[in-house]
Formats: sequence, structure tokens, C-alpha cells
Amino acid sequence: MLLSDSNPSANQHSRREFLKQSSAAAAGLAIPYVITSQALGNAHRAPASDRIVMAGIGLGNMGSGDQGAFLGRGDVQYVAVCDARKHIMNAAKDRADKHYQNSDCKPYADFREILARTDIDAVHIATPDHWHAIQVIQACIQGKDVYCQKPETKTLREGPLMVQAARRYSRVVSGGSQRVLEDYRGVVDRCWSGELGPIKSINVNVGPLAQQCYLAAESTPEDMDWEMWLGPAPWAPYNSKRCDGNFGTSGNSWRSYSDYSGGGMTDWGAHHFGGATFAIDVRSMQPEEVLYHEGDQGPHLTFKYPNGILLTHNCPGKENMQVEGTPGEKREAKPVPSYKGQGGIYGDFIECVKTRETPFRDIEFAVNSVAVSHLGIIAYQLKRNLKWDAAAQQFVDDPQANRFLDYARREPWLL
Amino acid sequence: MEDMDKVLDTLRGLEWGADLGPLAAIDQMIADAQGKAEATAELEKAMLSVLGSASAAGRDFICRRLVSVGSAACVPTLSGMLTQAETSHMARLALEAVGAPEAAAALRTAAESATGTPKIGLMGSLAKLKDGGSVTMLAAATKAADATISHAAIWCLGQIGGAEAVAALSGITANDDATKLAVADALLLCADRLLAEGNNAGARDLYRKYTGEAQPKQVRLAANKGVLASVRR
Repeated sequence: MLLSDSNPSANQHSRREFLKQSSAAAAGLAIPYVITSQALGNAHRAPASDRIVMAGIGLGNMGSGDQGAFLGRGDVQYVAVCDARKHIMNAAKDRADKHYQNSDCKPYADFREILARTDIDAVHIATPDHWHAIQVIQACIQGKDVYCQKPETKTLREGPLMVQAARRYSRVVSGGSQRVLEDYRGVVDRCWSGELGPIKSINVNVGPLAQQCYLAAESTPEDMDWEMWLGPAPWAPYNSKRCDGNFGTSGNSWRSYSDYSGGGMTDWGAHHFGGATFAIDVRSMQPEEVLYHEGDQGPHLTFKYPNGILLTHNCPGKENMQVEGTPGEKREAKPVPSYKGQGGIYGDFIECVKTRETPFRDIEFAVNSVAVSHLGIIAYQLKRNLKWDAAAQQFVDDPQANRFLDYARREPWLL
Repeated sequence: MEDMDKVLDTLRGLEWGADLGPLAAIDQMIADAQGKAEATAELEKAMLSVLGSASAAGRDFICRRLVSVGSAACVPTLSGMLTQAETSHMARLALEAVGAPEAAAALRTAAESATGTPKIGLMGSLAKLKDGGSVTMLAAATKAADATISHAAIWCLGQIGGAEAVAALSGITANDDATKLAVADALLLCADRLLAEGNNAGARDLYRKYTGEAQPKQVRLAANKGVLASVRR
């Protein structure tokens, strides 16, 4: 990645440390009247010294929702926003300023300036998928904790690099699928309670794959930094459908196009495969084999896990999240992991930022489940079976498939 | 062959927004050629024959297909695109996938002479290919006046690692915090790799550089964790 040429101070105290010291000093000097009620906090608001200082990168559809969730927390002080589109960036600043009734939220056109700020503890990232890896890794290097929207990765190669950065710098990095725990709880409970016996398989129905984009050039809106929006993706002319942040995957949004997304296979796949891998308790693994099947009702896949459990994709006749257990056989019940703190997945993240515990949707689990999507995409593209060595992060004796592990980032972005 | 000529003509003049229907034949041919060396080579040759005269969208389309069917045979043609800002990325897209020694050599040669952002991209591709032969060039690039180039070179040396890269990184005199952090990140990555290879003493020497109070908190954490791991193993 391209490191910032801005100037983060290596030995500067963090804002929280500064506030703590200032408060102590002020108490010693018997001048408590300089501390405002806002800084002291109340029943709904932590004192300033205990708040997590946050910023947002990418504040469109998902990002604005994330911002709202963090703004609503009394233990967060939201101080900066960044987006390649000025009107989105300004709207996000206005939301924060209105919430705090001040004008302190600072807008940035370049995320590197936010990451270089030493007073910021954590960022939430909701840029298009092709940006996630670079921004998450750079945030870790700069000492930030990260809440990253799903799908967390755009390619197989990105995942381990993100996990390594999080681990190297002891950062809390949470993926952003709340549905993994909240939407499929019934299935998860039945699997983890032992009610179904040992699990044989689960099915996920999701799609479609992303398509290539050769949309015609349109004039770039004045408030759009198109070079920054494209970032590491191949150059292409501006087209409103190419970069629209709506949730469709059929051609009128960036989620439709393979330079920025894996299509429904990763976008909804992050939720569905995330929920399925949680239910069958393979979050810490990746499949070792992908079987490609042709059939009257279209192609479908079977992922084989090292422990023998199968995950099928679009299997004809099977419903989404349909589980096959082993009736009559016993499986020991296990307690279902859940969020820490209060406030769903956002509260889980903030609690872990405070306690340095591992969040429910730890980046490693997120990477493993999105890897299912990526493996599936490559199997569908090559229309054949694949063998995957998860430890080596390589397809086994398959140089052709290994060509699709990643892509060259457009300069000056590196990964 | 007549069909192929039509397809190649379409490719030459392809514009953004054009109907891609006529080009579906190429993707079908690529799918059919999978595992067949001769058919793949023919496709590669045909697309290379129009690459030089193709429009920007045509070049984009061809280079993406070379990710699937490219071989050492496409290196000479792609080499000519590597140092120009308009064409460099697409050429790298194909060459990274080809990954043959010829591809790395072409990237290295181009990186020596390239300037500006193409140089950064070329260095990045070489780092991704873990090209040990690039270390001398990258070490020189760390001294570039343009911070975007020098920081990119530092990052690439960290990705490649090894004794020469460590020596080059250790010799950098960083005067600003951004450069200090870039060097620290690169050397911590080298240290992690040494540790994974079982060179605990070598890793520990690098980690110890970054355990001091003057380092950013996250760097100190990484370094102290590394020192502990190097003692325990």
C-alpha cells in the first residue's frame, strides 16, 4: 500500500491519554470549572476520557448506517469523516455535527489523513470492497482498531494479509455482518445444541456472480474524486451505474461489477456463508475441496471441509440454510458464542476496543467465510473442481486456478 | 478463422459502452481451450496480434484475458506497455498472473527506467512476486526525493524480505515520522518472517529496535510480542 506522506507523531499521546492527564492536572490545580458537562459525561454519556474516538471512511449507504450506530453511542466521540464524494462526505459531517451540536467533525477527501491522526482510536470502513484490504491494513499499521463492512475481502490473497496486520499490531478488527448471528440464530441454536446430532451438511442459496463492466463514459460529477473512488481498481471512465452504492447486483451498482465486488456471491454471500459456517462450526477453517456440478437446473457446488462436513451452494431442491444432521446420534451441546457489550455488533466492537478481547466477527472468521465465496467464484469461472491448501493459500497443483488468487493493484496503490 | 478476424477487428476498435456480445466468442474459446496448450497459445497469439493497435477498452479486454491464457510468449509485447501511465497497469495485470521468470525480468527492467506512478506499480508487482533480484533497485528507490516512491520502495523491501532487504531497510535514515513508521512496518514484517523460518536470534535483533518508548504504541506492541515469541520458541 502507499504509506501516507503526512506526519503522524510517533510519540504523541493519544487524545484519551491527554484528556486523562489534563483532568488530573486540572483537579490538582483546583480549577474544575474549566471542564464542561459534556466532557464530564452523564448517565448516557461516558466522560470524554473514556470515549472511543472514531472516524468513518466511506459514508454512503452502509457507511451512513454504521455512522448512525456509532454516533448513537455515549461511549463514542465521532470526530472525522472521509468519502470520495463531497456531498456524501458533507452530509456525514452534518450528521455528526448535528448530533453533538457543534461543528467539530472534520471532513477529509483522503482516508490516509484520517489514519495519520494520532487522536483517533478506531475507524469504521464502508468503502466498496476493492478498497477494504488496503484500508484495513493501513489502519492497523497506524494503530487503529477497525470495524469493516462485509464482504471484508475482494480476493483470496487479501484475507491473510488483513489477519496478519491485525495480529501483528494487536488491533481489534471486526467484520461487519450482523446477520451472521442475528438472522440465522434458530439454525445456529439447533446445530450447537446437539439437537440435530453430528452435522453432515448445510446448503446456501445465493448469487449471482459479478460481471465485467464496460459501461459508457459519462461526465464525472464535480463533487466526485473519481481517481480516489477507483483507487486500486483498473481505470475505467465514470458512469453513475458503475459506482452507485445501491444494494442491487444486476448492473446498476458497483456491487454488480467484478472490479469492485464479487456480486451477490460475496455481498449476500458474506451473510449467508457467514451464518452457515457459524452454524456448522467451521469458522476457523477453510474448505479443502470444491466440487463443481453441472445439472439441469444449472451449476452448483459442494465445499468439503477438513472435518468432513459439506457446505453446498445452490444445491437443487434445497432451501437456504437447510441443515442435514444425523438423527439419533448424539452430539455434545456447546454454548453459542455471542456479542459482548451492549448494542449488537457495533456494541461488540466497541466493547472489544475497550477490553482488547476478540470481537464476535473477528476478521479471521470473516475472512474464512468470504473465502468460501471466492473459492466458489473461481470454481464457477473455471467450471471444474478445485483443491485448496488453506495453510499455503494456494490451489493444489493448479497453476491456472492460482492465477485468480488476486489481481494487480492500479498504481500508486500496493498490496 | 474468419470469425476470429471479426472478433479481433471488434477488439481493435472496442469503445466503452459498446455491445460485448460479439466478444463472447473469445470467452467461450478460452473456456474450451482450458488444459489444451496449443489452443491456448493460438488464442494468446491472436490477441497479442491486435494488442498494440487496440483502443484503451480493447487493451483492457485483452489484458484481462491474458490473465487466463498468457504465457512467457506475451512478455515482449506487454513489456512495451510497462513504463507508460496509460498502459502500465493493464500490462502488470497480465504479467503478475503469468508469473514466469521472463515476466519478472521484464518488470525489473521496466522498473529501473520508469518514473512516477508506473514505477510504484512495477515495484509493487515485483514485491508481490517476491522477486529477490529487485532488492538493489528497490534500495536505490528508497532514496528517491518523491516520498510516494521512497515509501513504496520501503514497503516492497519488507514484502520481499531476506538479508539484503533487511540491510537496505536498516540503513535508511528516517527523519520524519511517516518514514519511520514505514521502515518499522517493513522491518517488523521481515522479523516475523525470520521468526517463522526459525531464525529467532535474527528476528529478535530486529524486534528489539522497536521496543523503546519513542515508538508508536502499536509498533511497541508488535515488537515486544515478537521478542517474547522469539524467546519462547
